[in-house]
Amino acid sequence: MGLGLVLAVLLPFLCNNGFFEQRALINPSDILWLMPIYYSFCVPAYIALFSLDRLLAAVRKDEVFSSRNVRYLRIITWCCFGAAIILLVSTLASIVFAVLAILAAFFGIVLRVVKNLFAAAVALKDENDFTI
Amino acid sequence: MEIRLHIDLMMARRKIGAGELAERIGITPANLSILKNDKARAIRFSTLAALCRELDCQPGDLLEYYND
Repeated sequence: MGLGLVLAVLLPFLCNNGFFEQRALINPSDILWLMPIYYSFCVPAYIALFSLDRLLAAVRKDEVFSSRNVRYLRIITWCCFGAAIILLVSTLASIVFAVLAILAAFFGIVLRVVKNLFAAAVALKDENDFTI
Repeated sequence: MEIRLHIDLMMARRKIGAGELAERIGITPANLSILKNDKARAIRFSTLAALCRELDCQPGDLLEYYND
């Protein structure tokens, strides 16, 4: 998380140094309107990181199949889809973002499947726990 | 759930405590409390048999169907 914050703060300086221009991926004039998009990208990223941290903390406490974990997984999926939409908007500047958008959306779909499997497992565990 | 369990009634009649009964039928006191509070979704035949054995009764004495 710290690394992400440092990167977010340094992003304008990176752009000033010609970090992106050198690679000729982005037109320098596009950077102005791309900047808010980059920063808005931080929001789903941090929500997903936070949910992942909560999820791992719950797993460490041996509470794997609980409805709370299903909720965290659902939040992470929506973060993936949100990131995909943000990246899709960025595609206007460079086609490279399209690849990233597809990757994010694919990851979101995979996680959605995992979430549904998890929800089924939680239902099974509930049934089993209340059979005495 | 439309099935009610009358374990506490039978326990009072046989004058047996919850902890003792749980130990005799081989389930944890927490699970016995789930049974007593009608939170259980299902009951195994082995558990029901042990309950009938220790409380000296028939399954019909423990289970009741109601429809309201």
